[in-house]
Amino acid sequence: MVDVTERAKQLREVAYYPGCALEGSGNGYDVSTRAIAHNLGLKLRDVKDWNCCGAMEVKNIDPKIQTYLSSRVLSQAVNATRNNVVMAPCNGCYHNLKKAEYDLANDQNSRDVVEKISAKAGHKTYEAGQAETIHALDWIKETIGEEGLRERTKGKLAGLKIANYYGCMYVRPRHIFPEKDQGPGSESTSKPHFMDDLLAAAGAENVEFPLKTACCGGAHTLSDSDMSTKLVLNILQAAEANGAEVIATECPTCHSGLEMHQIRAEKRFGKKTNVRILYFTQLLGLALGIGPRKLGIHTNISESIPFLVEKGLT
Amino acid sequence: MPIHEKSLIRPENITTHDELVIEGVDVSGHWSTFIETRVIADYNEAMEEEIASLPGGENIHRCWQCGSCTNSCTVHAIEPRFNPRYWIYLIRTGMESELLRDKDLIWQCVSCNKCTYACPRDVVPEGVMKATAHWLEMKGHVPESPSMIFDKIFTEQIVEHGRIEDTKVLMQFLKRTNQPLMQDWLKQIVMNIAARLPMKWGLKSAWSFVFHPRTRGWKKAGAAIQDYIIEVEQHHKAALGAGASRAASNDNPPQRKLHAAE
Amino acid sequence: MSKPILIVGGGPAGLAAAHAAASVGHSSVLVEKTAILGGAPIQSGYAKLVPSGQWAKDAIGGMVSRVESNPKVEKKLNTVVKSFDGTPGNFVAELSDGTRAEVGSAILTTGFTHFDSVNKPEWGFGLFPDVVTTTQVEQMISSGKGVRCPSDNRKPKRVAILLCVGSRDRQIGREWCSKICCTVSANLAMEIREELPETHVYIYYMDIRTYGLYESDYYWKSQEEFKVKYIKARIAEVTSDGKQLIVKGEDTLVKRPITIPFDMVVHAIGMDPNVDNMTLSAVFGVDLHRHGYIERKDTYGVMGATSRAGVFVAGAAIGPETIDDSIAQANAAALNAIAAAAGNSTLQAAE
Ligand SMILES: Cc1cc2nc3c(=O)[nH]c(=O)nc-3n(C[C@H](O)[C@H](O)[C@H](O)COP(=O)(O)OP(=O)(O)OC[C@H]3O[C@@H](n4cnc5c(N)ncnc54)[C@H](O)[C@@H]3O)c2cc1C
Ligand code: SF4
Ligand code: SF4
Ligand code: SF4
Repeated sequence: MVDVTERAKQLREVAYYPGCALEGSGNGYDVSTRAIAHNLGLKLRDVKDWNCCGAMEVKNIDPKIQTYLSSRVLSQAVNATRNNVVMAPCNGCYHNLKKAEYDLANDQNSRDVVEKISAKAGHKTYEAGQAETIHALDWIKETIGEEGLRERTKGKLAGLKIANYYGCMYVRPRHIFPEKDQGPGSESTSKPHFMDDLLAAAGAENVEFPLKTACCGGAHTLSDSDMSTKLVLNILQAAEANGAEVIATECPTCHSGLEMHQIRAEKRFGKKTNVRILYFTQLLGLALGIGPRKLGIHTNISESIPFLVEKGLT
Repeated sequence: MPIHEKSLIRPENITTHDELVIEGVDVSGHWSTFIETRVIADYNEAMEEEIASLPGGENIHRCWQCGSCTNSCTVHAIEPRFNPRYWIYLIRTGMESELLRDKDLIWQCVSCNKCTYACPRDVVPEGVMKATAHWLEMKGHVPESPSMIFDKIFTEQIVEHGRIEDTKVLMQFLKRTNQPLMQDWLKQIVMNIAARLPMKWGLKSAWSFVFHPRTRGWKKAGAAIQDYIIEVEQHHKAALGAGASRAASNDNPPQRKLHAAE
Repeated sequence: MSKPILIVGGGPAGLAAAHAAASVGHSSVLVEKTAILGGAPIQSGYAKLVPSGQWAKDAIGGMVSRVESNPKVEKKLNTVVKSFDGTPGNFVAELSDGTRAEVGSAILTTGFTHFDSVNKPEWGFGLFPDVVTTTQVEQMISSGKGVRCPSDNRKPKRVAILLCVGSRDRQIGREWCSKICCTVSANLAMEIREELPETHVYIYYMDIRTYGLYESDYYWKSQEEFKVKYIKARIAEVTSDGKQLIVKGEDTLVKRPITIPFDMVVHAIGMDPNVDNMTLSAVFGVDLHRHGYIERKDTYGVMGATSRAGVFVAGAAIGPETIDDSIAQANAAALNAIAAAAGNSTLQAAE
């Protein structure tokens, strides 16, 4: 095992895979991720000519196409940086890259299909183990860490009550995340805490929130909107009932799902909730003294700027 | 009759008699206890194997009916008829007509994988739900679900460009499912953002709409994926035998490139 | 006279092997890692044993004292084996106390490790004080304190026992049945009902495996005489409303969700491979079973043979096992170990 400080040094430069959502509806996540990287002196090397990871939609058509798509991303990430670490802020991308890594390491059939499509597509087949995928949470946690954030933010988020929402793809199914549930210091799949840890280091007060890994129904945001609205409403109401002013997110699909269905719940079911929805990178950015526009907060659907002004955070 | 068995009385099975006298008692009309036989007369022995041959269904034979999938299920909490454990039992025993009663629910699985996380036998119930939804469509028991339509639009864009553009997926989906673009809640969302302006952002999304985001040098990869899609689709059809038909595809938009020629 | 045999682990199996050897005049060196002999039933304070109904401290305590007073058995407590070299008839073991033992053969009776319920966080152990394990309930009974909720010492009105905690679960890599926990749970349920007749006891199961003669004495008896209720459901999660524990799941027979309050929830914990098995495998040069137990190389011919000639295994070191079967295996292994120590080459598989 690489020692912690050595690893922290290595991760100061990673390959960056934003994925489709961060180019579109999740733009605020992309902008804020780049802004805090810049502020913290961390280098992001964009993966060249990346493609979609395959998302849930392609997996439903055929899981092996998803494996191929993710494997191509991973092959583009190899040699992008010296450490071959690729950071994906989107839970969907992160999950799919991890899943491809697992399938390629453990399933001959997946290897065969990926090899066949890669050959036809005219590029080298990605082999399991050539790259390592991490989430934006791992990236900040392992490079700057709680101690570093405490120093840099001076507890600027003090008094802010946050419910941390992680969603499904960051923790399930458990076997694709072999590094989780490994005792102290590692992330937990039943009660994840990395985002809680980082925001607490920046001074925030994390509320007790039992729905951290509940599902927002992102798979059916459009195809079964009532289901998604009900699931989101559950999450929003639980957060409010526990006293949260803000829900922190770490996934563009969850984030826009919460935002869209917050509005839809009000329009269709007459259920209004006021909890604001912000990316954890936006919250950390504010804590680091970066302006809300530079963090893309104005491009969120959920209105939070007046609240942030009132809290003295901008 | 124990209270829980009341669920066995189904409207379609209640018999009605205009004039019926049994042992001197007039029992004409609706009688909830005069229901059709509940005897299961036969098993569809091919069903489990067919579903197991579709992606996600591979491990269905492992299930021992513990109920962990159902009790952890996101959709079950909202819709109690959504019961993966029960459906797996029906599929494994081949009780097709029972399964078909719930055919319009199965596609609603939100892929949260709570079931996969809980399942002690590693059946991957999430995969089984996908395979079953697929099977129902391929057999013509149900029309293409909105979810499948969405997945196809999404996949088509990737085959073509390597990436997707979310507004475009959304608009195509609404069009293909005959829904109005300007629904109240969608309008509200657009207004929320527009109010905070950034003209630039509006322009930017317009830009990416016209000039679809694409991956450089994608052509060959897209073609390779398309070939593969056709190949697996043929494979699945063969596995499901002659019974596989797209009987319901008339309700749906015209044939798209994604399907193998039929 | 051939050299003594080395016995590693002083639980029921190790004690039985030492006694068996001594009773035919053969000496042994008994190496036990902890400070006490008796293995799991003594270390964890079990109550009345299945199927004898005897108290563990009497039954296993008796096995301990007859070995303790036997001059043919050299006892080495707080000791482990560092290395083990040689061939059958002539092995040398280096022990952690710095001494060496020259032995003719060895028996591994190193037993099992209790499953740690913290690894199934959804079932509330470690989060709520009134979620306990079968070993804790055994201790409540054997200590004479009685079955009480740890949070406030009240008598539970309603107890749920969850079977197969840490067994039969691919998600945590445990693809075995721990064999004894169904019967132990039925037994504990009856003991709870005996002490607290007002208390209702529910057992949540997927299958009931009270095999052999245990069927009538435990499963049926608990239902028929003690009115213990059996519900076919694997529990989703155990939470709390601040006052009581809430058990959630699906009652699979009525196809309905359940959300039932309980005062106490008991995990019927399984028998993991001994955490030391990797080390034992390296020191003794024996293969492990794919699930991590010590592998038997022969089922019918030479009881307890391992992949290394002259090294034998018995008891829960092989896999989940009962006390009486562990003892039987240990007696068989002792016979073969004595023969091996004498350089007896007639030991051959039956095939
Ligand atoms: C809750 C519960 C209740 C049970 N109740 C019953 C019952 O009523 N009836 C029944 O028949 N069975 C019961 N069992 C099963 C019973 O515990 C086992 O069958 C029995 O303990 C096996 O005996 P053993 O000697 O093989 O192993 P153990 O009892 O595990 O003894 C192994 C010994 O080896 C020592 N050791 C371990 N590693 C080393 C090492 N590296 N070096 C040196 N020494 C080492 C240990 O300290 C221990 O003393 C129960 C099990 C559980 C979990
Ligand atoms: S993945 Fe589907 S079946 Fe499984 S728990 Fe989620 S909604 Fe239920
Ligand atoms: S959790 Fe797994 S084994 Fe249990 S009923 Fe569901 S699919 Fe079957
Ligand atoms: S004995 Fe019973 S409780 Fe124990 S693992 Fe086997 S089935 Fe489960």
